[in-house]
Amino acid sequence: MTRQFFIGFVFIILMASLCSCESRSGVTAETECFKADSVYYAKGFEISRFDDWIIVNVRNPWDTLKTLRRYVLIDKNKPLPDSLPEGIIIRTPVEKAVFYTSVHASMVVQMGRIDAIKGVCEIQYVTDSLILERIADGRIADIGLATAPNIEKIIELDTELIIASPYENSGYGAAEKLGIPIVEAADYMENHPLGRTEWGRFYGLLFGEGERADSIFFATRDRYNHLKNLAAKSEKRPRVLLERKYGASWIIPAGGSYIGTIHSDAGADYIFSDFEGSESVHQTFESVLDRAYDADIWLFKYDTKHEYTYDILKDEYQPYSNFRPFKEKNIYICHTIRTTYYDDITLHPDRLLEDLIFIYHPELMPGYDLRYYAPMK
Amino acid sequence: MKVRSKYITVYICLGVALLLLFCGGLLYGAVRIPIGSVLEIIAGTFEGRQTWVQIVMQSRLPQTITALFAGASLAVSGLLLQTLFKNPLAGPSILGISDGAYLGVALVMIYFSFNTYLSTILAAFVGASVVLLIIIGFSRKVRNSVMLLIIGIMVGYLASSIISILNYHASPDKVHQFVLWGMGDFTGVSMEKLPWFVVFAAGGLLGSIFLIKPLNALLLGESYAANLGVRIKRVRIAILLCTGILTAATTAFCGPISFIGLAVPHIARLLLGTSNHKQLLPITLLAGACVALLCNMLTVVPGSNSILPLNAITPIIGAPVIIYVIVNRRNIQYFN
Amino acid sequence: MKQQITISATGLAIGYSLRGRRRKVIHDSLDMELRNGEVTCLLGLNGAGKSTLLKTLCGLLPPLAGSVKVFGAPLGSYSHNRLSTLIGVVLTEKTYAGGITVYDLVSLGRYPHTGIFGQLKDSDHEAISKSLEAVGITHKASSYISELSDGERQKVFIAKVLAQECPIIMLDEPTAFLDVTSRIEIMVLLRKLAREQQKSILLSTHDLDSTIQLGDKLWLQERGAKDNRASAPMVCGTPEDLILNGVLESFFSKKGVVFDSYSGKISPVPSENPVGVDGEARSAFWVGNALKRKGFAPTAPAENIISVQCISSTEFIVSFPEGKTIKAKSIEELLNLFTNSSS
Repeated sequence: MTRQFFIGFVFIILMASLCSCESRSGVTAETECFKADSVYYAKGFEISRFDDWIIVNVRNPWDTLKTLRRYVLIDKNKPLPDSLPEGIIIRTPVEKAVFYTSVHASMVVQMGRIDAIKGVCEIQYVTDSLILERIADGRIADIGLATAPNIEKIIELDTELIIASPYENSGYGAAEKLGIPIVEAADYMENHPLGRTEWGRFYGLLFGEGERADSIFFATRDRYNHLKNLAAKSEKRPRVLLERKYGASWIIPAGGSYIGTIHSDAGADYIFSDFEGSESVHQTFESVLDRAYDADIWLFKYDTKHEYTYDILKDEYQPYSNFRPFKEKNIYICHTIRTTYYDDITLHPDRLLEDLIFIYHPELMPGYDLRYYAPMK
Repeated sequence: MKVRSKYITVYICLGVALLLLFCGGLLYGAVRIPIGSVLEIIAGTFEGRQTWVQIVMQSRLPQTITALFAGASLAVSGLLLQTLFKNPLAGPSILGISDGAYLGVALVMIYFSFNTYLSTILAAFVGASVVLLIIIGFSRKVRNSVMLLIIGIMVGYLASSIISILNYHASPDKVHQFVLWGMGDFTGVSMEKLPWFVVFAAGGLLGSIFLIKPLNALLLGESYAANLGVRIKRVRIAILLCTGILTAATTAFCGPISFIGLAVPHIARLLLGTSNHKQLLPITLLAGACVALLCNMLTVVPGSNSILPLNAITPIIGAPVIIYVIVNRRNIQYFN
Repeated sequence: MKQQITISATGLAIGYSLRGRRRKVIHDSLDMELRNGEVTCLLGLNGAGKSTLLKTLCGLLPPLAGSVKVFGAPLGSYSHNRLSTLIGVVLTEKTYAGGITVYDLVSLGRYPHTGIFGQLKDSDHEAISKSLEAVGITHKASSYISELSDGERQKVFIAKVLAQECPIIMLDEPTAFLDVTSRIEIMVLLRKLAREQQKSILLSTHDLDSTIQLGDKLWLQERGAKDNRASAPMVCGTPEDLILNGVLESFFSKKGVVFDSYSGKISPVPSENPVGVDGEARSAFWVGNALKRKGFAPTAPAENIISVQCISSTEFIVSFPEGKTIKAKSIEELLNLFTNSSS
């Protein structure tokens, strides 16, 4: 086995030295040499195309020098090659997949492969109406909790592939023993909004819709960048305060995080953008007050059953009323469950950007209706 | 009398420490405000940055007062329980009262998703009171105090298991919120809410002062105490009520705070040398306030952007005390 | 002062009520009376229910049947506070008072007399000092309870009950941990209290010697009800009457022990080996003691038995039936003769 692998490796090197290869995005698999696809925003995966297979390396998000997993995608219609590279073998296109996270399923719906979705975990968080329809009539099964999925159901469905979200140092329990390949989709660790969306290109390869997934991504990317450029045209950059105090800490997203990036892209001056990296920082209330008391606009998210109002906010913690956005009634709030906020972070960051641009520069988008945020009453 | 002067020294030292720590709470924080400015703000003559006034008067002042009363309440509550159950490892968390409060808040935050300020406080109170009533109910039937303690521990476990189930099914957001609440927090009580907390805490503390006499009698055991005229069942209920109010109020307004109730009575006994509640109770009260003020100050790490959770700091002070007491128990009089 | 009955019990049944309305009856139908100015000793073997009886009489345990009257009124009719000024107890239970001083513990005896916060007035301090003096522990007033010996601790609790200033005092095995001198001290103190302050003192004990010497009345508590057999009634009386009536003898009759109504001691059953003892009274008594220990029965000298003539405490003449006589200079020598020649 090792000898065969060695021969295969030497063969590849020979081929590579004979061809001049250039990297271009969107090249199909009909090439002789291996090419690396350009991945623009996502830092968590790399795509390398070979003659008989595609290798996707998912990087370890907690130690970016290491590989978390390597997936080897081999076309079902082609025979299995004699020498296989190391990695988890996935025969594509996948026809029966189970998704631990509903937003991944939504991405697959986007590329027109809803038929490949056989099971989803935590259906209470599903917002996609097409998926909900199929859940209702049984075509998509409820797999239960992502932390404790219904293994028997997964087996019963003849699942070929499981797509899950990895957590540091945690395994997948009994699911690992099934022998079914598990794709560890670390998209939620991406810091750039488009980085998360770009993972769709990986899923596209899994479901045989590589081109389509690519074009969906490029459309989103272009739209996002167009909006970003639009926002850059405005001269004013409002100073923005985000989130609230929970317990003793006001959790401040860092400048390099997904949140920090998208708000800056929307043409705002995010007050704590100087916090480097992507980890959120626990600040005291007084630090935030001292630094951000004269912010122009304040945005926060909530998920309680009751709607937030200025009275309720003040009741929750009276010193909130010292902030200028409170006094001037410039607070916008977003309900994360009643809107598709969490899904759209990944699926449609451009839409989120739109909302933000409208809040920060309403003159740039006349006639726009806010999707996620709304002025607090 | 030689013994008297020792007590007076302890009182004075703790009193001074309390004053210093209280001032420290006003002067020290994540935002650097010069001492002179703080004094001017308190005097009302400050003419500078408005946020500094807000910080001192609306954030640091209520926070410090809250810490003071919370520390005193938890410490006294722990002392009451240690004497009632004749168990030096008893504390407010052991009877399951704070678990009950925890459960109430979990239900409101995770299950009902309806956590306004008022609903959270009420839920904590109700949860703590339900557990307290259960314990009091059992105390009528159960003659042996040790048995009652075990019942309390079991009730606490029950509450914890329900909380686990709620957490298990909850979204990561909710779990995160709940975990943050569970870290303990003196900053959540603003000036306008403060009177509520102070009323409950002061009520419980005042009630406990009236219990000094029977508490001393209980040191002799329930038979002797009954012979001295103590109505055991009534006193037990009174102690449980006081402890319940103190624990429920503190947990409701500040979240569950660990170790202060367990460790501070020991600190007080070590300082005083005596188990006589006439001195022990007031000193426990003062020491509890001091420890809480200190822990509150320690949440802000100088030079760092971030803060530490309160419940991570209290064990740093509390655990060494307990370990010291256990290791040295042969030499410590109140253990023999 | 006229003697009165302070506590009386009629038809008293003592025991514990267990779950489900079952009861463990230790004794049924006891009758007894406690009088002031007297020290009453409650004698009983282990497990006879002495502690249960004491606790029932002082109100810590409810009687299962019958009634207890204190100064003529039923026990239950007194308020807790009033009762605590009438009856004071000293028990054998473990306490958690290691961390308070002797003075503080004794001052707890003033509990029924002080106000809400237990503030001590001058009269209280006086009572405490007097109690400390009476038991002889004033020098330890500032020591912590945990630093005391068992005997000292016992004295402190007695001091506490003295500070309570009750007309009735009940003590559960108060002399159990005390050395010989302390025992006598305590018994003398109790006697003094009974006589000078006309208190009623009830104590349970195993110490037969002090009881016979210093007790005014004896209560003999047999082992309790067992296996459907009813329990025996309590026997009460002065020690001397009980001895002369043979009651004490039958009370202590067991395999291998006998109550000697002459010496007032409990000794092993005398053997059948008679040895005649005669001579100087004191030496003769102790020779008899040594012989008993060795398994002989000292008796009046006779022809066919070995006899010992006690000339003085250092001169003994042993005469054997076969006519041999040997001199001994000490009791040890004497005993050696017996063991050597034991046939």
